[in-house]
Amino acid sequence: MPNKVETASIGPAVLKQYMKEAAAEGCRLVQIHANRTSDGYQLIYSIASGYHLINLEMVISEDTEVESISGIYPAAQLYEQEMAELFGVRIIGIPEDPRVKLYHVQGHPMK
Amino acid sequence: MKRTIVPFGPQHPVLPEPIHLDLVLEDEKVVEAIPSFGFIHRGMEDLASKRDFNDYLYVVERICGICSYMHGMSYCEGAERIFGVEIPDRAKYLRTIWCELSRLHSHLLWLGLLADAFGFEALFMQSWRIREKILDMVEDSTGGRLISSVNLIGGVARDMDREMLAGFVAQFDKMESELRSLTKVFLKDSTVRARLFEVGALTKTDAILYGAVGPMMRASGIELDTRKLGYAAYGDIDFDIITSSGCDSLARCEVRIGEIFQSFRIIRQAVDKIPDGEIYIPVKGNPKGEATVRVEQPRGEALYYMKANGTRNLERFRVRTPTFSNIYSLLKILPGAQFADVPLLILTIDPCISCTER
Repeated sequence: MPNKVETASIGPAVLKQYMKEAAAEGCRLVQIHANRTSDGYQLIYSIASGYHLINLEMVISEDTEVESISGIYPAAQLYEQEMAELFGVRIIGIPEDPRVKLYHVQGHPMK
Repeated sequence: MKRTIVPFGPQHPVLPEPIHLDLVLEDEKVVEAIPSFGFIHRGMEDLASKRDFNDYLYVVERICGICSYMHGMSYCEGAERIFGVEIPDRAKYLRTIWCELSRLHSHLLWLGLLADAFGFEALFMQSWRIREKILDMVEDSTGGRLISSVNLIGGVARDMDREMLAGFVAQFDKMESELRSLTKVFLKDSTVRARLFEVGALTKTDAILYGAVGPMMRASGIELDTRKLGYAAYGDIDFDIITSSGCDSLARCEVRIGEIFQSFRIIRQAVDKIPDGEIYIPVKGNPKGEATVRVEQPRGEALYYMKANGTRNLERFRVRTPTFSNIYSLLKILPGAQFADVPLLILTIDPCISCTER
């Protein structure tokens, strides 16, 4: 079985709907991470159906707000919090519990 | 009913690594668990953009002691994919053998820790006694018990001769026989079953939604093992994916025990099939491009993302470790559990906080 990874682009407006459909079809959320670009971020949402992995790439500016998908995939909260704490990505809708902090860092060290 | 918050960790006898949970209890029953970690976060992903990509291999190996070999190999697989090089077949088989030795010592470590968590000292000692023999094999073949440093971008740095490989296989029969008696205690003994059976259930649907990976996921009835993607020499080797429909702590134990015996099977096949030839091809220049690599570590699927821009430093290195993905599954299985079962439930995800705090 080839270890191939498909990539596709996605916009912030359709992310939540796409994830809802993916979850309904039984896809797994493998991970989310951010890459720094010259004027913003590239967010990569990796989802898998069986062995098939798709990297959904979303290019956003620094000010763009991205909706949290933790209501669909609860595990997304950790990834989103990581992006928010380390990179300063503006994720809206992460459950705001000050006790659930990941890295206890000042500022955004990877911004 | 009155609720009490009991802090659990980061210093706790059952947790050799720091993770903290605020356990909200009603009497002895857990109703909520609020996690907190990041106490020893080392910023290793960020460090990749400041170090030569060849040197960084030795940093990657130090993400975790137990999964050290797998981290190094995955990093090399990613770099090789960016360079577009195919490593020699002998190197692929050697990587497979070392991967399985890593899985064996990791699963035996886990069995010992589990036994220790429910107070079965003799079982703990026996598990680690057998693990020691595997560590001896790793030391004989790599020079290091945990940090092996045998991977290179383009192959491996050390070979194993026929005599050494045959010596390993010759020890397997006795080890398997000892393990059969030992694992029978884990699966059949009434005192052990009482602690594991129907404790910490995670349904198949929840395992998907909460991001469970590895034995945690397979114990919820999902047949998925990234070794089947065929990296290293796994494409040429026949092995079964061990699953269980039990969904509880006993099922997780059952899956890991099954995987121990599959690892022996994989190493035997690899030793039979390993071809002669080179173990390394030189790879020159700086990488340019990106790669996503998935490997099956002992604790589950790990994902590595590497992006290179033609300079000697990587632009971005990302590693999503199995424990990071299993944290939410842990938070799902804790509510409803008895307070006394919490250490055991934490152990059933086989937590590796070193990996998580990469």
